[in-house]
Amino acid sequence: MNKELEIEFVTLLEQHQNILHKICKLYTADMDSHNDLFQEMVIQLWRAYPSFKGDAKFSTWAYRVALNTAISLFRTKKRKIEMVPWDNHILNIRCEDYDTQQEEQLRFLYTAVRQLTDIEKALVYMYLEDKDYVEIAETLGISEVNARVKMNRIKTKLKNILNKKGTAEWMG
Amino acid sequence: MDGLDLLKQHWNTDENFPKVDKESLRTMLHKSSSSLVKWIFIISVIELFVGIALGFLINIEEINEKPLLHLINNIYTVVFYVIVGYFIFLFFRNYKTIKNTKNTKSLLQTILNTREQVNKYIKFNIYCILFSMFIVCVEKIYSYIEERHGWGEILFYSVTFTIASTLVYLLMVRIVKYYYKILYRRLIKKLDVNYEELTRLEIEA
Repeated sequence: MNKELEIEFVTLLEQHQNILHKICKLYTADMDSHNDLFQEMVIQLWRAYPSFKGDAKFSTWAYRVALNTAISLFRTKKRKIEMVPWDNHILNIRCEDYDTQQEEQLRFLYTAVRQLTDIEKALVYMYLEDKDYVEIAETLGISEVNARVKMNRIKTKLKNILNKKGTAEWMG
Repeated sequence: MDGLDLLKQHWNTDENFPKVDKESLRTMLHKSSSSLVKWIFIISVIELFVGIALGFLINIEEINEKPLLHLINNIYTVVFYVIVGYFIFLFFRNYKTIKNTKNTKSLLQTILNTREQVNKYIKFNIYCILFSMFIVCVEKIYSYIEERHGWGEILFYSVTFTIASTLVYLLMVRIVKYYYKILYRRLIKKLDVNYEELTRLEIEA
């Protein structure tokens, strides 16, 4: 692949890299896994880039390939060394800006989301990104009705996970 | 406020991610992928070649000099390599259709189909080994009859050969099953679970 294409791709990716980071945050629990998944997503995006026609938005195209990487291609490495959890890393940086109780709620929420299946996490990601059900269904290859049904089930499942953790009262 | 809504509120404002610069991104582009598909490809290619090597090993040994058995062996060799060639063609054709830009369900389906093709190839090889062992058994028994051994002796050798062959075959099947159990757990399970979840959703609706 030529240099120009590479420069074009890297420029676009640098601007939109938070898409990848956000997906990594839902699918991984520590920084090293986050970085591994991020790297694999970059490789997969680069491989698929020649097929990017430009008729779709780069961000839309990128999140689909990134989700596919997390669901179908990424192989979690077994690690012997204890890793630094994502939330600790981020929340430690931000502890002065944040209300402690809200931080704690968010930490529980992220932990709960990570207990969902790969497919459920993909739905949560697209829900958080305000994608409509037509797009969600199209991305996953299921019907729109099923995407809605699944999303409702996920909300119930999350509520149950949080209830078990005794945080229901926090979440209203 | 609902849990997901609280998360959404935070999600939209969350900018606190590591910033990867262009140079690091460029370096990442040229790193080797460690994707499941890559591993499935490597393992599948090894298995395809082990199958071919096995075919050679079985053929190297002159299993018979009897015209009929010789003819069967020749037909078997030709059929074996034609089918192996067809399997290899199918594998590479299916592998080329794996595109990470497909929708998730189609992508999972294509990967699993490609792998399934290799599983069929392994089963085919096991049946071929079984067939070769059967031919060897027939040839040995035939030789004993020709050498005019006593019927008791012929019966004894026939039973011994059949039992030994069956045991070897069963052991081989057990090893292959165990190998798949390990391989399945390491590589395919994640894909299977995700694909099943998407399929189940369609059935339940």
